[in-house]
Amino acid sequence: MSSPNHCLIGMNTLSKKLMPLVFLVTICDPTLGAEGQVVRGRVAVPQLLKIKELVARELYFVKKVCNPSPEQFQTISDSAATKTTEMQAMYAEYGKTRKPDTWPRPEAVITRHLQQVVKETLSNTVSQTYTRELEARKNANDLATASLVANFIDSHVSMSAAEIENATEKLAELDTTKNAQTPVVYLYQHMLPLPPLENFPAILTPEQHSLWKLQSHTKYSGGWVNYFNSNNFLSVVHPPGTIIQPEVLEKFQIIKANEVMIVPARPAQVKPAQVKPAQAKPAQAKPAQAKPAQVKPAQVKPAQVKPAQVKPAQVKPAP
Amino acid sequence: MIQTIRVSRLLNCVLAFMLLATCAASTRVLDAAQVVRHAVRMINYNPENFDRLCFRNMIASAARDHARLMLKAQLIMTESSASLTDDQRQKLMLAGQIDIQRFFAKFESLKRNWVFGSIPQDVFSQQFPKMRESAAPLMARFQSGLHDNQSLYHKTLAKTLTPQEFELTEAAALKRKQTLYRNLVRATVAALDSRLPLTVKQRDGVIQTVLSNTEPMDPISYTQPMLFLVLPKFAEVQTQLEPLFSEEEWPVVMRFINLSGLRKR
Repeated sequence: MSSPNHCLIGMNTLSKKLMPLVFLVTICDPTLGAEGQVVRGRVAVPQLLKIKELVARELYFVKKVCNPSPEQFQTISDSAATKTTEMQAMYAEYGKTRKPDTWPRPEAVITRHLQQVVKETLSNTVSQTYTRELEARKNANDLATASLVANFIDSHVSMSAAEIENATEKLAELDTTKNAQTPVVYLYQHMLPLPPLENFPAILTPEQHSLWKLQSHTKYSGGWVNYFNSNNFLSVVHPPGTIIQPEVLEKFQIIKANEVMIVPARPAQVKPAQVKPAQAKPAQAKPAQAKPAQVKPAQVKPAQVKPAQVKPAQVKPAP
Repeated sequence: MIQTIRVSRLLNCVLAFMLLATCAASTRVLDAAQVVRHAVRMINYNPENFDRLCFRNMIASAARDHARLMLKAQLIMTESSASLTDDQRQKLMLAGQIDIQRFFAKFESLKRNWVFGSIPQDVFSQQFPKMRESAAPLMARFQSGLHDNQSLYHKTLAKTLTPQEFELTEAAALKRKQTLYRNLVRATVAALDSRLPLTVKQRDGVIQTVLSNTEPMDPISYTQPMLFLVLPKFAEVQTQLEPLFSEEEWPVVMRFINLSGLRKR
């Protein structure tokens, strides 16, 4: 599907500064086998493994809401499996466009497909219930994202309860909220989908708006695919009957019943590598090479010291 | 003639040997110098680094500006629930500024306890944990806001307003707290929903159960994943939550709730 030329085009169009950022992204799911698509360039595509996880979750939801017979469920899951393969090929093809923001989200693709299959396989009433549940979930997601953004804005401008309500409602209607990186968005404040500045007059009073503008707010612009592919601590939560991937288990070891600890899988491999140079005597020479790196900040500091001299002036009025 | 050549060769050899010996000695001296330099490894830690540690990557002057802005915001919010005269507004502003001044005076006095500049690594390693420990209460106070219930601003507000007006502001503050808390609960339920798809009944049931059976948290500053702040509240009402899920789903929900004990290494 992809060719080496494809990669070269991407490399040539990049400036020299961006060259180190270029990396090879490969769909690393071993289950891909001979059919595996390798996409080269700066763009990642959703991994099959993660698509499968998503499909399993959605199938569980179909089972839960629609309560199909074993035969009906078999039909639905067979169709979902075919769709999974199609999605894999579709994203490999999309990978060439290098514009992940324009690609359809896997969640939307699979739910739309399942909606259709449920409609064809099950009764009208059941199908409508399923559609209602899906819509309710999407609305709840948007509302939850908007709620968090409203809380975050409040922490910078202090709003009243009514203002928070109003802000939440307005934010829920924005595209920035609807296209948020759920569920990652719920985890870290720097990933919150802050709306563009032109949306703020509708959300804040003029005083609050000027207060907001005076403060700096980092905006995160990471692609959604990276988050779709990554594992976070929510990766240990799966619907019943789903098998947790061994790599996730390795990363998030359950220590006690009430305690989960993030144990990165890599350090164990890094440690022996650190021991080896210690056995070789020239190790003393290596720290000497590291020193110049420490000297550099020292050269920067005189400039940083100057504002520090200003500070005592600020302290004097305090007593 | 031959003897002269032999002597000169011998001399050359001796000279070469001496040269090698000198080089080796100088190398040893260089090595030793490097070892000595390595032994006194210096860490550059300036006052700004300490500021950034305390104020979420802000220097003290920026943090002070931020506090002043938050005072303005606080005043605007107070005015939304009670009408203030110019005199009252000035009093509150002054009280808020004193809160800020007091906080930064404390911060500066704490800062004076530490050695900054080029510090030997061992001294720094000893100093840094103590530094961080002593700064923790100030960090928490700054992040939760300098004009909370313990502040002079709040006390002045209680004295400046009539009891009825003060009650109104207190009620508004409580409503705000509840709204912020409801938003966090909503988001936490959506996080569960993203891993274990919930029905409308389950989603609404969980949100209602948590909101009606737990005390709302104080407004937070979002410096850590907010999920961990709310999940302990879910753990408080797990017996009430259990009937909302099927037998096979409940262990999954418990696994989610138990994430509250997650520690990042």
